Amino acid sequence: MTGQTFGADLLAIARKTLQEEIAPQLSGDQRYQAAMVANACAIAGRELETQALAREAEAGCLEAAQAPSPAALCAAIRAGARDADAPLHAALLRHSLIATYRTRPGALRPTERQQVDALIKDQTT
Amino acid sequence: MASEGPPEAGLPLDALAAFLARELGATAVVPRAASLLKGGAIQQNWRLDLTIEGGPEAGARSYVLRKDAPSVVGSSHGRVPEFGIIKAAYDAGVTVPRPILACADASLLGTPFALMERVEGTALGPRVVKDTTLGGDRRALLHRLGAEMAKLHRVRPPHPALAFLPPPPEDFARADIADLRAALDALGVPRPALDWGLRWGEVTAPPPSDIRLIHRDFRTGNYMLDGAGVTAILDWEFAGWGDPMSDLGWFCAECWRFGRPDLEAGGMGERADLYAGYAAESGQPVDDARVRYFEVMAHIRWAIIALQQGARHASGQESSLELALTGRIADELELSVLRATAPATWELRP
Repeated sequence: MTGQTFGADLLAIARKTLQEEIAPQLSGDQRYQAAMVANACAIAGRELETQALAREAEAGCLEAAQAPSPAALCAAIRAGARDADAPLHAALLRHSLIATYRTRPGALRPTERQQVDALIKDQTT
Repeated sequence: MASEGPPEAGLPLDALAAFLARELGATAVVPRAASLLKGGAIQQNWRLDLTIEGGPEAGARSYVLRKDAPSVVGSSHGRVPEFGIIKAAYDAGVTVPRPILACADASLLGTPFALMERVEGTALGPRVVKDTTLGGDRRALLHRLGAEMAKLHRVRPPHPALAFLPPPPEDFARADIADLRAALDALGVPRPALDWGLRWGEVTAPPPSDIRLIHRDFRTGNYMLDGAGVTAILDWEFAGWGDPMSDLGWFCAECWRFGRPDLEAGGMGERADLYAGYAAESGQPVDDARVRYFEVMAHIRWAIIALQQGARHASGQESSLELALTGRIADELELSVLRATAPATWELRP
C-alpha cells in the first residue's frame, strides 16, 4: 500500500522494458547481451520468489542425511555412507527441481513443473 | 565456423611469409589477405589467404592460423600439442582440417602457432539441429559421425607423436572420477548432487576397457556441416587417452541435444544410426550400457566445467554476465544426473 514497487516486481518491469522497448532496437552482439540481461533479471526474480523454498529444500537434504553442513553431506556421500539412500535422493531431487526452476524452468519436465508450482502455491497460501 | 571479423593488424605478414616459404619448400609465399576470425577467447584464429610459388603447397591457398591469445601463454593446452593431436587424427582418416605445420617458436608471432587448411561449414549447435538443409540426410550423417569416431579410436597408446599427453589410465572411469572430484574440490563449493553422481559413477563403473585416443568433446556444435555432410571435426583441445565409449556417451548426452531431447544422437537423430556407423567402421558392436554410463558422467563433467566458468566471474577474475550465466547451467545438469541415478539404478553393473 505504499504506491512503490520493490524486489521481484521491479525486476519484472525492468526485464519487460528491456525486452519490449530496448532489445528490438538492438542487433547482433548487443541484442545477445540484452537477452542475457533479461535472462539474469528473470533468474533473480524467481530466486526472490522461491527464497524460503530453497532454504527449506537445502535443510531437507541435510536432515535426510543427518549432516551438519553441505560440506559434511558431500563427505558422507563420497565416503559411501549414503549409497542408494532413497530419502536423500528424494531430498536432493526436490532441491534440484527448485534450483532448475530458478535457473531455467523450461528444463523441467511437465510433471516436475507441476510439482514446483504446487510447492510455490503452498508457500504463498 | 566462426564468421569473419574486421581486418586487423597484428600478424607480421612479411616475416610470416618468409618463414612459411622456408618451411614449405616454396620459392615465394605472397599473402593476399589476413583477417582475424571471431569467436576465440582462448585462441586467435586468423584466415590467411596466400599464393604459394613452388613446393608441395604451390598454388592459391586458404589456411587458418591458430595461435594462443597472449593472456594464456604458458597454458598446457597450447596450439602445438593440439596440432599433434589433429595430425594423428588426420593420419587415422578422421575428417579434420588438413594440418600444414606447427611452430613452437614464439619469437615470430609472440606465441606458438599452428596452420591448417581452411574448411567451410557451420558448426553452431542450435543452428545445425534446427536447419535440416545442413548435413545432408541425417541418418547418413549420424552413420558417418559414428564412423569418424571409430577411425579416431583406432589410435592406440603408445604413440610417439602424442608423448606429451598424460599417460593412458589403467581404469579410465575411475581415473576420471578422481579428476572430477579434484576439480570439484578446487571450486571450494559443496555440490551434494554432483558428489551423489560421482559416487554413483564409482559404484557402477564399468570394468576397464581398451584405451584409445578419444576426443572428449565430440558433440553437436563441434563438427562442421555443409549442405552435403561433415566437413570437419573441430575443437581437439581436450583430447587424450580414454575409454572410446565415453566419446559416444558425450555425443548422446541429453545436455548436447540443443532443444531436441527426443533425438538421442546429439539432437540430430536416432542413436541406432550413430552406433551402426561406429560398428561398421570399427568391426565391434557398441557397448550400449557403457555408453549410457558415460552419458551420466558427461552431465557431471559439463556441470563442473560450467561451475569453473561461473567461478571465473564469481571470483572477480573476469567480470562477465555470460560466465555468470554459464555457471548456472550446472543446476539443470545436476537435475539430469539425479534423474539418472535413482536408488534402483545403483545395482546396475554395465
